[in-house]
Amino acid sequence: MIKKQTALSALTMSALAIPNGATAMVVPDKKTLSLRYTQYQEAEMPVERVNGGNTGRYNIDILQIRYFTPVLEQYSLDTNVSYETMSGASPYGSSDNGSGQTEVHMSGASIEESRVDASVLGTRYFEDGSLGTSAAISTENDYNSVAFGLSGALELFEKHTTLLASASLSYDELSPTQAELFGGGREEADGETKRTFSMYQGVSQVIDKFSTLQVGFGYTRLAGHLSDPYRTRDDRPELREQNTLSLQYRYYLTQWGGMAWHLDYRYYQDDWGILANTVTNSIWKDTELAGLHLTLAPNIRYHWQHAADFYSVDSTSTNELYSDDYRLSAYGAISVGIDIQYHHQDMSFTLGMSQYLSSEDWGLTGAESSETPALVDFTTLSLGIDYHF
Amino acid sequence: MQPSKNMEYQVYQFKAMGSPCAFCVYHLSYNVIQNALQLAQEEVHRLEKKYSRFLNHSVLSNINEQAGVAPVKVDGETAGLINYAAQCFELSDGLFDITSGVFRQIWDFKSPKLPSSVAIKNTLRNVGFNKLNWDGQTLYIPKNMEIDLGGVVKEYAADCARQVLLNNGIQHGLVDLGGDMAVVGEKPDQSPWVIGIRDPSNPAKAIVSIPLMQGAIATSGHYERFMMINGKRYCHIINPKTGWPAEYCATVSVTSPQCLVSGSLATIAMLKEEKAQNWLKEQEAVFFVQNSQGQCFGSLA
Repeated sequence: MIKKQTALSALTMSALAIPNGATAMVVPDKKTLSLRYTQYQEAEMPVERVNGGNTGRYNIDILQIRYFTPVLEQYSLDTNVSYETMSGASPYGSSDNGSGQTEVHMSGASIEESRVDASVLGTRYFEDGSLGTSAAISTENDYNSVAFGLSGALELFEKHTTLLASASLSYDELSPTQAELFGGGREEADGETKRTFSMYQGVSQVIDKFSTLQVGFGYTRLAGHLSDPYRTRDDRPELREQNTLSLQYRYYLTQWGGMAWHLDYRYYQDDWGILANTVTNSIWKDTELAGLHLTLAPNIRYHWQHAADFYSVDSTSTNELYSDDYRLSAYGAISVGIDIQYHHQDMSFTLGMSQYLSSEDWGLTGAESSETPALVDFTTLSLGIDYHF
Repeated sequence: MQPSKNMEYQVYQFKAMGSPCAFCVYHLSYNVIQNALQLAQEEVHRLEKKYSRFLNHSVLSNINEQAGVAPVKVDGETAGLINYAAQCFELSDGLFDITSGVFRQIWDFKSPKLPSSVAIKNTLRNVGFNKLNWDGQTLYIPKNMEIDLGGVVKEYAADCARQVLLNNGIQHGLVDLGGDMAVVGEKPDQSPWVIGIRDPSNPAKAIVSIPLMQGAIATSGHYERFMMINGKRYCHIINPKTGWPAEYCATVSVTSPQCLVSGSLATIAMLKEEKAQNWLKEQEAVFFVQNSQGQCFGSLA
């Protein structure tokens, strides 16, 4: 016999179906002012693999200011300005050291540069979604860039499903320093441009009360001068098409007083022959330490990739396409880090640290062809203050 | 389990939805408590503002303003509440009706005067959820009618506030919105929250104490708003079919996973009159009923 449904069970079902406004796409009602300082420091090159120049590499200091404010009832404006100063030496080529190993040619520690980035994002909020439009500029002494973007989100099925889409265009102009003096790649790049078109489509799905999954597909097309003007020899194609597939999984564990587990995976492939996989794991845990309420977020990331078809450290190569940029080589990298947040009333303080280590032996596959002497290790340290009012 | 002696305990009282409200919460961190309390209170005020009859531009007022004029498309949360109310109407054979608010025009509990039978008859014409045109997204209210979500919003707000506490790290807490209560887990020492139900004949005293480890409890009683005429009590719970107040039950309390469901079952039971306890039993509800003669029924009695 089929049991008659009681009012208790029927009403419980329909009460559970009410989409609670507190979790809806609500217009933010607070302003945020944030200040963030990040220090990026590359490790020194091993002396035996350096031919001339300097073993010390790049140091970058970044100061960012962000101001976010709701406007009228349904809009928000998000403004970011960052100032970056870079100093140190950078590899500009490589050659055989006469004993079967390649060595790297480093620039003198003379590079002193600065960059200013500014961007503004306006968002309009609707009942079931949002639409955003953005503009950005970036300027440094040898590079200028402007970019525009559109993005949107649409919530469906009582907000359990969110469709995401975005597209952006950027236009960059190159003007390498001392182009006439050095000639070569610098002179060739002078006045050249680079155009980038990028799009992303994704869907975010609430699986149950403990987990969500976001799946996204991205496509980027770069055209124009894509070679590095500061390298002794760098001849890359004038077109590059990149595809990415990304998965973001969030799981809330009720054990140990509750914590969130974030697992991200990204598959990357481009028409230069690079295949890359990146897996990031992090745990977010609220805890009490010495009377302070802290959020701790340790993370570990593993990245491995195949080399581009034209990557080589054989400077005598007669191939039409050639690059010895370590970022196009086959390698693997591991980074470990932790973010610590402390909340006090309307303020939150963030301290972040991470260590990045890379090796041509960690590339799993595709490393058999060429070695990668210029691979870089680095540490980052960041400090931030956010004020909500 | 953390020993409760290390935990901060805070009782936070405020006024909302015309009632005294309180959140009672435990947590190791004072900051977590402050943050959760603030967000939960904001959530209650959000719903109060959204569904207030008194604010000219509340979502509810905007819907009622269009009565007899045009259909109104409502947001997802409001649609969920109307769907819920539609189901209550159906399951109660028309006793639970969000169009009953118009009875306020003739039942004034501040002036001890009964409405005339003509006035009741005329008002009954403007009552009946089945007279509305509701397609799940768009609501058309005929002229002279209105909807009032007062019978569901306070209970729903208790559920929402509980969810906000839970989402912000609270594992042991109690939400009390004027007697509509929802708990977040048991107390830190694993003992239940003890809820006292008002004695209808002496509302300052508890007639029964109900232990609650989880879920919610809501109470409907004839002592909340009423008038006495010639020794007879007329309470604010009006039967939408007759236009006269419910008489048989003095108080009904129901526990269930959600405060919203507890509240509607309690109200429907009040309107079921003598059938109250049998109907609640059929629904497999956990309840306490005291009738006007002082007899008590139900698994919580």
